[in-house]
Amino acid sequence: MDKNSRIKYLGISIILAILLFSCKGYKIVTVKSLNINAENKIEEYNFNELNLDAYRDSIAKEMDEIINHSDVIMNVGCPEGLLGNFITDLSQAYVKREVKNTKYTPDFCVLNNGGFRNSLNKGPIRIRDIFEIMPFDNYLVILEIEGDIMLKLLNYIQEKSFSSHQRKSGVPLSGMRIKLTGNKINRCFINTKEFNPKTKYKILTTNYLANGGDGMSFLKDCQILFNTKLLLRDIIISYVREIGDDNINVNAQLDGRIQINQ
Amino acid sequence: MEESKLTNRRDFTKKIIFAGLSIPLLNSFSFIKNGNKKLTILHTNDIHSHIDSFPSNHSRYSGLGGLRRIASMVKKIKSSQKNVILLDAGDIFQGTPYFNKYKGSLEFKIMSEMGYAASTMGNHDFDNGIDGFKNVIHHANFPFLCSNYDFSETVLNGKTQKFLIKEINNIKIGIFGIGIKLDGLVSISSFKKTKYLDPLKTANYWAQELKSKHQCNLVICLSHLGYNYESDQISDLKLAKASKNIDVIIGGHTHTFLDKAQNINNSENKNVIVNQAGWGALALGRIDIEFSKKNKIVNELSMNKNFKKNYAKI
Repeated sequence: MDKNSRIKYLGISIILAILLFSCKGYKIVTVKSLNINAENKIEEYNFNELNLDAYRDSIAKEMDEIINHSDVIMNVGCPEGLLGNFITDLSQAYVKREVKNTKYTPDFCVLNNGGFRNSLNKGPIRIRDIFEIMPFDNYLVILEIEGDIMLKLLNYIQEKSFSSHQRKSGVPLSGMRIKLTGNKINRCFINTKEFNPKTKYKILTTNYLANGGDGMSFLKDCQILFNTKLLLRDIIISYVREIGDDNINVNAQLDGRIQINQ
Repeated sequence: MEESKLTNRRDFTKKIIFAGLSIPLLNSFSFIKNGNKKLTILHTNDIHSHIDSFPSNHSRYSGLGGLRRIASMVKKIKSSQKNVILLDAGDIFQGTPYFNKYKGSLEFKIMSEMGYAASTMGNHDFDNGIDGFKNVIHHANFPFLCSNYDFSETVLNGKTQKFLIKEINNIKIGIFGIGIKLDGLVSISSFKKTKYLDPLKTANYWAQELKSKHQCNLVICLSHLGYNYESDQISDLKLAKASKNIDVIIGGHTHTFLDKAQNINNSENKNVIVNQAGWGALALGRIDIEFSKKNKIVNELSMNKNFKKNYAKI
């Protein structure tokens, strides 16, 4: 190393040392915080450089089509909710109609509230609204469920029915009625017959839950009887559109399918 | 010729040394005014593809939120604050038709325009599988910090970072990212051979690396663990309590709206600042930190009374 490069290296290392030192030693002395809501008086930035309008227009045509009207606001609920009742009922009915082979006819349908990402608003229903409720490309499958797994499912439903976590409570189901007393399952009917642990049932659910999603790991042990390959979102859109074509508005009721007796 | 080259080089070296010396000189000038350094952290989480505001018929958030609005807010704050860092805590994907149609590329393009410094991956960022994420990641000009997802046997190998160091206004900021356990939340066909590493151990490891080895003045954890649970599931509050060397946890996943960041005592009885900003780009988290070489700590979070007065209306 010649003299000059030595000087150079010395210079650089002094700078590095200074830079290091200039950072070193700084400690937090005050912290303030205030989170700010994105209220509607705040202007929406246009991102002209990205030509956002082109993106929006290309989906708007498809998404803004009005396919029916809803008489009520439908939310998820616990132990039951209008949105869960509506979607499980229509899924069960739709699949029963579409899947002709009776050996696959589902006995009941179980979905999950965490999968419904929005509520259904009262008034006109656009395709966009259904996309916002069910954005996932989940499809419906029919599983065969045996007694021991069925008991795990019932325990799961019981726990979720008493959970207070806003987004994680309640289990949407159709074709099943359950009575819970205290923290115990008192009675369970599959359609009109009392649940029998020795019977194998056919359950309609999504591929997400069949893969053990949302804590339903026990469903992974069930045999998949039939993959409908129907996207849940497509089924909701078809059903809502169909009844709209028959001039029937969308509606749903709470009917005590999961009852809690204190 | 040879001689003049040498002189030039000597001059150059002198210049370097002078430039080096002038840095602390400038520092000491600013010290006369106020030697303290300021940093504003702005953050979002669980954007869920909400680029535009919520639809007018939405039952709760009609006309509110949206990334375009957050962009205006960030611009406004940046116009009055010099030292701003913009961060996100995951779940950028899924929630509006923008995602179904453009697979997340538009969200990444917008966030890149907005100047995000980093994000981490939430469970919904796996919704099109890790392949789906890999296909659009090049639209993001900021890194994804995933410290406890081991992607080495997946297509994301080398596409994310374990940590990031940013220097703003002479404050060295170390950032890493902690994700939620995927098993049971995301189907295995989506996360494939991603290995999940213990969130607490990983967090403490990187925090120690950043604080001690890299001498960071501030260590930020971007977390998609969730704010708090009734069960013993690991959360931001539990992580904060059991942590060492983390100064700030920017959280997500539970869609928790907080008025302001919270103070939590860590395992060494030191303060950790924990914050989360709802979801759907409905809120922008804001934390203003002042640094000093003196050690008088005034954490105003715990004695917050006239806070709103301290902030310009946006």
